[in-house]
Amino acid sequence: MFIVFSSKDSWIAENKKIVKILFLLLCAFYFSTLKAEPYLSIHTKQTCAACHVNPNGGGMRTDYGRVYGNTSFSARQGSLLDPNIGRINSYLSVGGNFRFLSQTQETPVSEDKTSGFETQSGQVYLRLNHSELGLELYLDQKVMPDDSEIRELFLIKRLQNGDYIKAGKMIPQLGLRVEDDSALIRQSSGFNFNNNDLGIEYGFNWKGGLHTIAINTGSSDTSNPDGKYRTILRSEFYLDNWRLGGALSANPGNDSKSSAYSLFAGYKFGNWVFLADVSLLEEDFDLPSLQDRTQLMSLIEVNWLYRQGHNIKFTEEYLDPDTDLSEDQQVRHSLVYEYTPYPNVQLRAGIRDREAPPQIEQLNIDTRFLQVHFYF
Amino acid sequence: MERCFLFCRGLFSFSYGNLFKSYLLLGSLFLLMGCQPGSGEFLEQNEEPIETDYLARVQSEIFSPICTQCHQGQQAPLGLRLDSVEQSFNNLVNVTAQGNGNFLRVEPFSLERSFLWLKVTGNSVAGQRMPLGLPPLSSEQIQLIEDWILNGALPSESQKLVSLAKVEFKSEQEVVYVQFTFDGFINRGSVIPQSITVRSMHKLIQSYSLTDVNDTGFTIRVTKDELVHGQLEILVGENNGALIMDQINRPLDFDNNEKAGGSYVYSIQLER
Ligand code: HEC
Repeated sequence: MFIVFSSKDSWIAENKKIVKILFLLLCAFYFSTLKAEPYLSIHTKQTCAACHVNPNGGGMRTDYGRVYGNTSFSARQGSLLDPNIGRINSYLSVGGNFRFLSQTQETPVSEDKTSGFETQSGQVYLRLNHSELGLELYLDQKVMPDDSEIRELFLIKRLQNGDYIKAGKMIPQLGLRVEDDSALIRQSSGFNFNNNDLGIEYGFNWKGGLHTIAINTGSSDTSNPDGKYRTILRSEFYLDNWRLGGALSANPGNDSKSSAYSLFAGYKFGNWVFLADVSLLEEDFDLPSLQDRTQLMSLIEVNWLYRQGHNIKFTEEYLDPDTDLSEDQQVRHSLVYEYTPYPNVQLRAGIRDREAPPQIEQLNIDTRFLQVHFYF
Repeated sequence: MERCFLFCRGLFSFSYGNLFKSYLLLGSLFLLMGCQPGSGEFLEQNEEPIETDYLARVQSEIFSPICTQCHQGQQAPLGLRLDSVEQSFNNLVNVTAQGNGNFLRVEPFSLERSFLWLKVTGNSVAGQRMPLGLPPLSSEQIQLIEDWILNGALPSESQKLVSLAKVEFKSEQEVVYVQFTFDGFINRGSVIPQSITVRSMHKLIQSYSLTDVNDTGFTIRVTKDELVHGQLEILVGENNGALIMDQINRPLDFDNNEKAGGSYVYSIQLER
């Protein structure tokens, strides 16, 4: 068993008690959050843009998103926080997302096992909007853990017909943008919250779907050392109980080319929501001495919203890190319980079992976690 | 694997959306739960790197299985690609860390000055610990990285021989360009006048210039005035005063016989 004390901050290590008390206080505060989650979008039969400022979903919520959160999402209604707390005036609003995590990870690497407590993430959002011009400035700033960093900063111009143009620093999107960044389709595809690029994106509505064309640096950096750009095309159709979509990305570089393809779907059946995503990643090297590589990854998620405020989420994932190698595939099974007692708090508890070939001990990980998520 | 396919079939058959199908879906979900990880057979096919080839071991024991989940492809975080021994060497050794410009990613012989080491040991000056979101490396794995750095952070001997991939010729009004491209990374420092002979009808041309020397090749620029009867010949490899080398200072495989060394002559006759 291996010890994972996820926080390297020795202050936390030394002051575990204080931290625990703070943690409990926070829970008691009933702060918390709604989550940028594709299953919600399918459950409510709404686009991400209905509830989120960013049309790609995630981050700061719109006025409608707040109302939904206050009335239809949590077990009990009425929050201890004024739902409009973040709304400073009609031009300026702020928001925040904080996740605190207590988790144990075990691998066969050594015999010990410990658990850790950490501030998993802290984000603050700022939105400046000029409704007459239909122009907005949006900032998503990471404030914790470690160094502060701008995750997204863009200008967005919304057109009358619902189309939009975005320009600035953005997190590119391929398939489903599930919240769990350690999901294999997120981590291994490189399309996750750690990767942001400078670029532009145009989104338009056509035949009951949202279609986006994005051109960006493709280097997960605001600079573009190779001088070449990545293009991402993405379509997502909203069909009553169904959600169907596909995306492709071409990212040429100096001595190789990365391509990515994704097909995804969602289906709502009563209070069940099913999600599926299959993504393929190709890396073609110009240099024959370097080996080309194709990766395949998939996710199946079942959500059972058995009562308002309660969701049971079951996820199955698959990753083949190199389709040319035999017997290198990995799987991950997760069971997560999400409880939203009040509009601004969510508690999530779960287990995740990641299985890799036994020789790669580091990737055979059993995780148990409890997450508190608060939002304003 | 087969079960996974079965599952996918289940998923697609769900499109009719009726109750029966949904049970099918749930049923196949349970099948999917039976998806097993690989047995790791591919690892047995790999040759064990030699004991002292530290980078090859770091690559096969740490970088490839663990870090390349994120550090691969064009969108690798901060451009740090660790896909192969060649790339790991190129992107780590003596390259400035983006997370903190006061450090090199790997400074040979120094752990404290190597950002990579600070990152995997969870030192607070380096921000987030690597591997991100995964259990930390074991002490043996960290030891291996230390061995590599403290022994000079040398390139791997398992690196493939580099040979000539193509030669391209371009003629302009006054000058001609000949571009040599190799199929792997070369040691730029070994591309010097002594390692190349440029001649025309046996007359040596010394006034050529070497342009655009990069990781995988170089270009030679000659003015047409220098050429006798429009003939041009360029010799690389043996019979020169020096040899062009790869990153681990082996001569390139110039004649494509899968052995280091040999020579290659490129010649062209310009129309007059
Ligand atoms: C889950 C994805 C992920 C995994 C796995 C991962 N990294 Fe990283 N790595 C990142 C991200 C994102 C960054 C950029 C942010 C940062 O520096 O913390 C980064 C940054 C780095 C840097 C800093 C580069 C610089 O110039 O500042 C080093 C060194 C590094 N990683 C090494 C490793 C090593 C070695 C491993 C394997 C043991 C590894 N990483 C595994 C995501 C990952």
